[in-house]
Amino acid sequence: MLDIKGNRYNFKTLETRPRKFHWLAISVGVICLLAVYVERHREGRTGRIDNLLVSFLGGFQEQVNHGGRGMSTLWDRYLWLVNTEKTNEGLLRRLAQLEVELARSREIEDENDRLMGLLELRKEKPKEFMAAHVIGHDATADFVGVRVDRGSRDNVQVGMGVIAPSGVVGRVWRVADSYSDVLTLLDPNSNVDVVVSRSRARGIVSGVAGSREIAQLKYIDRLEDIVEGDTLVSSGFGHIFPAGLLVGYVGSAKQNGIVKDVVVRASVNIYRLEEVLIVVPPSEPKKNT
Amino acid sequence: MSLPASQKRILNSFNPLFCVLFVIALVLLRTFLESLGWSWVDRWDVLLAFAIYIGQRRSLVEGLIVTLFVSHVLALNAVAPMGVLVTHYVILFLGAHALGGVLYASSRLSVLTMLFVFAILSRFLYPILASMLGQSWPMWSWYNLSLFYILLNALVGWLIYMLLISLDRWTYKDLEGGVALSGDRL
Repeated sequence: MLDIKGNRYNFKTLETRPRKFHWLAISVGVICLLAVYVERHREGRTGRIDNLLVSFLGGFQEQVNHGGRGMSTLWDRYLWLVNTEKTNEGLLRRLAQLEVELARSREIEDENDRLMGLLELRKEKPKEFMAAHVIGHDATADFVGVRVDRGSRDNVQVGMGVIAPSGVVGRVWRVADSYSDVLTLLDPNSNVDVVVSRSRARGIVSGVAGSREIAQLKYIDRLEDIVEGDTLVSSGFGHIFPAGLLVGYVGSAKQNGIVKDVVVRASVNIYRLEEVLIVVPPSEPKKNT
Repeated sequence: MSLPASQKRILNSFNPLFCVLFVIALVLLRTFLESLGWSWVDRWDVLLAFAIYIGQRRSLVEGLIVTLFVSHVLALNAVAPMGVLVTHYVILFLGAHALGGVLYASSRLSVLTMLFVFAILSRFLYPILASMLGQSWPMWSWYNLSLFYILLNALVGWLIYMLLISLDRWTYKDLEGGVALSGDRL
């Protein structure tokens, strides 16, 4: 058979061309869709459908989490009580030691306040905290986050700091109506500015892929004075976390060329978190125009 | 007991909804196990087996819609940079779909082998996508090739795959049509 130009039809080509075209169209469509998707969700933005989905799943997660914790508590506190007496004795001894240390710390704090008053140094503005329950963990294998039961209805905003009694947890990553997701400091995408409390060396704590307990201290010069067991506290820069909050302890510090590879043991156990505090930054006074 | 044909058709048409509910149930199961303090759950990829199953046994359009939706639901339950998870599972789905035209996994061993291969592929895909769309994913970390992760997801994924086959059977999903469509035409 001949076409309009007198050439012979190639039926094989005719059969495959539409399929190639469909594949190309679908590929271009999917890439465009993904580009729009990424753009629309940049910087923790959520739409109405996202809010609906998060609220729906968050509600279920809250109930499931309460059930799971209840079972875990029943086992730990009422059934599995081997070594409890021994642990209690150890804790009582530790408590006595800490009470002595606390009294000494209070003395130092008072002295510090007096000296700051004499030097007329401006104190950091007091921050407010909002308590929240942890209702679930990240549903993927590679990222480390937690979900809390406070959202935009409670004035939670993306970027707010999240802390626990044992130290820094992370910062708010995404906010829905009633729930928020927190990017913990153990996630590789997380960055928390810290200082070494003994030597005042500064660095950034970031997560390590695949670990839920270990982080790394980045950008540390090989000449910095950091040794195993040093305590890392938040620097207070950026006003996300109050200065001096515990972040973790140095696990090891090895020289690697011009920098030091510093392994950090996080002070917070992500899986033992039940309640957290969201740091609400102090509202800026209105400027007179 | 055999149902009338009209009821079978209704169940068949609701199959994508059941699939989505199945994934939500998996996410909730994961939440429950984590609240019990089971640390191995960290390494469980909830959607790996699902994306491969849908790729092998659904038409391109139906599978793509279901995969996009469930991966978005999962992304809303993760702190991954937006787009990483959706792109990851869409690529796995397309890979399984393209493979479906050549190799259709039906026996238990072939399903397990396929899941093992895709678990390894997933480990290579993650760091590349996360580096492209995120900020600081460690590209050359040994963790990316964790044997525990690969074995766990191949074995748990196999179980999920079998449950999905049962789900299709209970909802009278027209497997013949799905398989014929998969891989050889749109």
